Amino acid sequence: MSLLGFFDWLATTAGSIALHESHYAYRIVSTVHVVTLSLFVGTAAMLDLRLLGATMRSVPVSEVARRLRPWTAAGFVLMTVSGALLFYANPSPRYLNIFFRAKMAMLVLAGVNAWLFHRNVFPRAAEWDNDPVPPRRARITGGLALALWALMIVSGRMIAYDWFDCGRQPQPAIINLLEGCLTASR
Amino acid sequence: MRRTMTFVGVALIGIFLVAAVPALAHHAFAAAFDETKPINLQGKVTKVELVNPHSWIWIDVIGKDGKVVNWGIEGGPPSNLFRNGITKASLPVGTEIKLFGYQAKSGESKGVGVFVEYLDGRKVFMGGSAPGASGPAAAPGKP
Repeated sequence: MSLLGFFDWLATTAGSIALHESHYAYRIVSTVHVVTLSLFVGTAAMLDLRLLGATMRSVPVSEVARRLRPWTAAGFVLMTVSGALLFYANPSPRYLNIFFRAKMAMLVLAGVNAWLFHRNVFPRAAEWDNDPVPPRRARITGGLALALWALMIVSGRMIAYDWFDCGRQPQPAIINLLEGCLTASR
Repeated sequence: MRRTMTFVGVALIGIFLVAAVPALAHHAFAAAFDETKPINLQGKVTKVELVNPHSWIWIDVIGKDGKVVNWGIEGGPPSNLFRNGITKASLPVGTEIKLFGYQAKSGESKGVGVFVEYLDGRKVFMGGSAPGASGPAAAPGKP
């Protein structure tokens, strides 16, 4: 079964139908998604700004990270769960949406950036914990994270404005490829 | 403790304020639809998708040349249509209806609906992003 076939099937499951036909649940889930992504990106941005040396310069980096972590983690979990539910409500239209795909790409890149930070940069933070402006590699990860989360939010908002809907043919082949328009009928 | 309570209180008020903003504006009218291209269709219902974030009513319209074109018309979320009286049962496939709205900017046979009119003259507003779609009382006129 193709991925698209799987998503088409997913939309026929009871939970997906309940969500996309719901009168209230979908609105509540999308509201939770927006509020919790604000919590997640908001608190992550504070750490990133500290890494850039732009805020709380007299507070040790480890202290900023330690205090923000529970909020960032809670925001991330709730954002991810509510986001997964929104995808579950309309799987195939999201899968065939260029901005959704861009958003997932940003999520992966931001994840790799965070992983590299925790693997290579943060373990040696003791060396520059009190520096008002951390070293270059820390500033780069902080700046990258800020940019990637911002791009992810923009792509997410753009999902509602699919300029390249598969029904809108003819379109350049590259657009059809990126959008996943496999046949003329999709 | 008191400061914590104040913080929690302010946070809760904030969340309720955000939640109170009607979560209808998935996308704006002007981004996808063209105010200068009003559409006035009549045809038989082929599919009714009462789904979030936008519902779609599909009708087969017979053109002047005799060719059948399937038009997709977007409405508000299911709760809005339900409130205005559109349910799966009220629009069975094959029902002949008129649809008023605005065509998509892309020129596809898609649009956003203002209201559905049954052949007996009953009008049901589609509660979406189109001007006037919330009902006659809320019609804002030309922006």
